[in-house]
Amino acid sequence: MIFYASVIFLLIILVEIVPFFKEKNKKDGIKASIVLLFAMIPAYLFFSNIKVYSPMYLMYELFMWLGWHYPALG
Amino acid sequence: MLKQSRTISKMQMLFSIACFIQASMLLTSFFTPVGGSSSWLAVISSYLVFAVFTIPLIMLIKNFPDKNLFQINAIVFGKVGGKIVSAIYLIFFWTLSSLNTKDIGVFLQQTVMTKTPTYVTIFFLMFLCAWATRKGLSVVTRYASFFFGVSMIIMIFSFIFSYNLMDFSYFLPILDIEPIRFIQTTNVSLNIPLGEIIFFLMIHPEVRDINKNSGKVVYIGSFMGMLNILLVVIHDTAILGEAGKLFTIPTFETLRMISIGDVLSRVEILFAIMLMLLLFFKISFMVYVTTISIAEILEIKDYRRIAFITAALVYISSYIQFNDSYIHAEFGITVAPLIWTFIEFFLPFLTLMIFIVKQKYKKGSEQTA
Repeated sequence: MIFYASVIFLLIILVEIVPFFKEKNKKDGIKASIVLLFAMIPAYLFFSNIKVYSPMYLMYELFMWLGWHYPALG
Repeated sequence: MLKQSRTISKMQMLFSIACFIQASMLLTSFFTPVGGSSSWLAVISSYLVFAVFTIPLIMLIKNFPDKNLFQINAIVFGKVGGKIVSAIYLIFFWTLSSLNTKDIGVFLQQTVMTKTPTYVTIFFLMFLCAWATRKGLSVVTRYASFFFGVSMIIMIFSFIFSYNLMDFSYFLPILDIEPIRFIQTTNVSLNIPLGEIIFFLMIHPEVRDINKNSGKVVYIGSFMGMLNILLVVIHDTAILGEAGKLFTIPTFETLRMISIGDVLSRVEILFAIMLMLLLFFKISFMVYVTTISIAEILEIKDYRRIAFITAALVYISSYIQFNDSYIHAEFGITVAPLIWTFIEFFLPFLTLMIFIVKQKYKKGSEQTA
């Protein structure tokens, strides 16, 4: 999976990130690269079997811990 | 600031809202186990609550016909405050996009393509969604009326075909649940299919003449979508009764039971096709909105250039949002209604209130000057 993910990310870099730098629009290129990093880092962690927690999952845990929730089904 | 040109008509927006809400029929399993045989009443009451709660959204559209939600936030809350509020919306849009993507992946693997891994089906789906996003909103919403028509026809036919399986005594006794469970069912039904129309506040500047009759468009579109959800809930309860709680996709199970002579059986494939069409529409719309949200918050001039990056982000996060589908379901029933209410209804209400107070203060200071 890491191999396939790398190929896809490489294609995305070639199709979407490189044109920004070719057009000398460095500012937008860097911003787009940061967004891509947000996808790449969790992807590699996930495919390496390292547990990754999403913001919504952490929110769920926090609300359950605080007791701010509707009753579960049981 | 993102430039959005008027590319779609009000009719397209109306059918898009209807399709968008209808696509949540897979998620009726979030509230039917809680509401049981009274779920249909909760669905009706949720629409009544929605009719009131959605007034701030319509007023925001009327007051800012040329500004999307993030631009409104920047005007009302200021540059920094606006970015913080917009970031909350962005996390919400991104989360919902990935949760819906996960749902369609699981649905396809459980029902239609049982041997194909979800990462393959979702990959092709995301590719199509990113492609549609690159082409613009008019392409994303072009087939909304067709999808709505097809799904309505399939739903009506499946209702007729399964009429002999229905037992309307399953609806009795009416409201035989604790009040908190009824409120919970109403809240889930309010937030999960209906409240999600907050997504449309990102695209209303692209709708022609949206300042006229915007309320009508929102109410009629949401009513059409909700009608289908109500039909599904009534259909499932009348056939399965309390046993409906045991299934993750009750409608699919009810349609499996249809057999008219030896001629007509396996009607569930029609439901699968309908759901695929609707979810494809919903996810491509969500990916479009998430893309323009990222572009707006990061001030990227051309959103089309980050469509595939957003699709990759949604694709990956669909795997990491909730590793366990049981926790996903419990989140939808217990915590999501509270968080979603805050984002879908309270934040727009707060935005409108601050805007009104600011306007009054501005008028007052102008008069004294």
